[in-house]
Amino acid sequence: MKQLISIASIPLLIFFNGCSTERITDYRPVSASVSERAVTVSGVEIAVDPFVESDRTKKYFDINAVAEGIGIVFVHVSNDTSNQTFIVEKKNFQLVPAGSSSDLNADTQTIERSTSGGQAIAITGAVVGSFGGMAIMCIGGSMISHSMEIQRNFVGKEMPDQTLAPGESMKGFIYYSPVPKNAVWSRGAKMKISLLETKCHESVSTIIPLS
Amino acid sequence: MIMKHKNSIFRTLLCVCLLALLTGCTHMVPISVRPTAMTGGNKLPLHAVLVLNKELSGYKHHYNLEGDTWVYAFGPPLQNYARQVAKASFQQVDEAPSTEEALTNLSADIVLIPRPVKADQSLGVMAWSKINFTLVVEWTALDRVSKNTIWLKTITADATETEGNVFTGKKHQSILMQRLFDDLSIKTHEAFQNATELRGSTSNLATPPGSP
Repeated sequence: MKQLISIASIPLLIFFNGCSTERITDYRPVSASVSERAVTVSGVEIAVDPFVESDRTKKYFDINAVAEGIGIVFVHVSNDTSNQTFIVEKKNFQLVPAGSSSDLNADTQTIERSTSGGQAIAITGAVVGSFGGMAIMCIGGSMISHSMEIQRNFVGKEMPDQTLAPGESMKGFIYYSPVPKNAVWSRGAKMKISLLETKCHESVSTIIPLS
Repeated sequence: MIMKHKNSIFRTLLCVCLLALLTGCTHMVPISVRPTAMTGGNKLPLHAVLVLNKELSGYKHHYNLEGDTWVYAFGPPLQNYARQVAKASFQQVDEAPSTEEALTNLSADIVLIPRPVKADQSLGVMAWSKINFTLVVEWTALDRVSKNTIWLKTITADATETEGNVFTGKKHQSILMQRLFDDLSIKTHEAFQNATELRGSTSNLATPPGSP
């Protein structure tokens, strides 16, 4: 009888364990990471930190983004000017992979962000989809709810588009897909960034090497 | 003969049941929220035209789970939220159905365009599980004269609530939506209050042609 109870309790434990829809850990860096690269251009400091370690993507996104071919970059922008406001938009942060040289058109080598509103959803869709199928067969809704939280977490952590007034700063994640799987996708890659000044409508551009 | 007839009825019923299982259902989720109290802060001394276009009024969030689809008609509550926050934040607010029409309002300083960006949710499978909901809305302020973007802000609202069972689910859904729109309204109001580009005076805006 005891044996029967023990056997019966295992699937129950598995089932209830996944029912709580726990939120995934927030990312609050206290100091710059070793992989962070920063530049200052026209009084604006831009720091980018590619998440190339599986451990970090698992901790803050609950998936192995490196193995899934999802490039995750943490961006921090500070406007240190006294009288200029800039428009900061995700579409103006382009990832240029390694291998693009001057004789190649950088644009054709650029891994574009999706311009649709559901970019994070599109990226995680395939990953979550495979979770979903497995869940139905194995332990029902618990894994589905977990995969849903992974997707929602991507949306919640995405960098917002906004204007940045003097003295203000902003941060968030930008996602790129596909990047080479199971490799250090940032090696030799660069980030092409442009910001638009609101009064003169002049563009400020810079390139940050990611490694 | 009777046996054959029974068999064909049975097969038809089986087909209908299978089809019903395969096609899934669409559920409309009603959203009813009360206006959020937005206290504190001063109204910005600007005349704004609020654009309530079809993208906002017709915004729906589709949520698919195991063949079923839940449709959240966010349009009407988003329109009400946009009106309430704009009226709580600016001295004078007019409305327009499109940006083009808003720009023809010659007495206005700025044109305000709220745009729903995305919504997503996660939920558990038990009555005591939590639903987490995220709604993202982008606000753009254009200088009415130069038509340039002078302010842009993306507001990400979050809310969490217990899922509830078949008897209490509706009540919890209603609490979740109220929390979501409260968070959205308060964050938006704060964003307007802290907007250096809009705050204080119209000095940031382009001088209308012919003005001294």
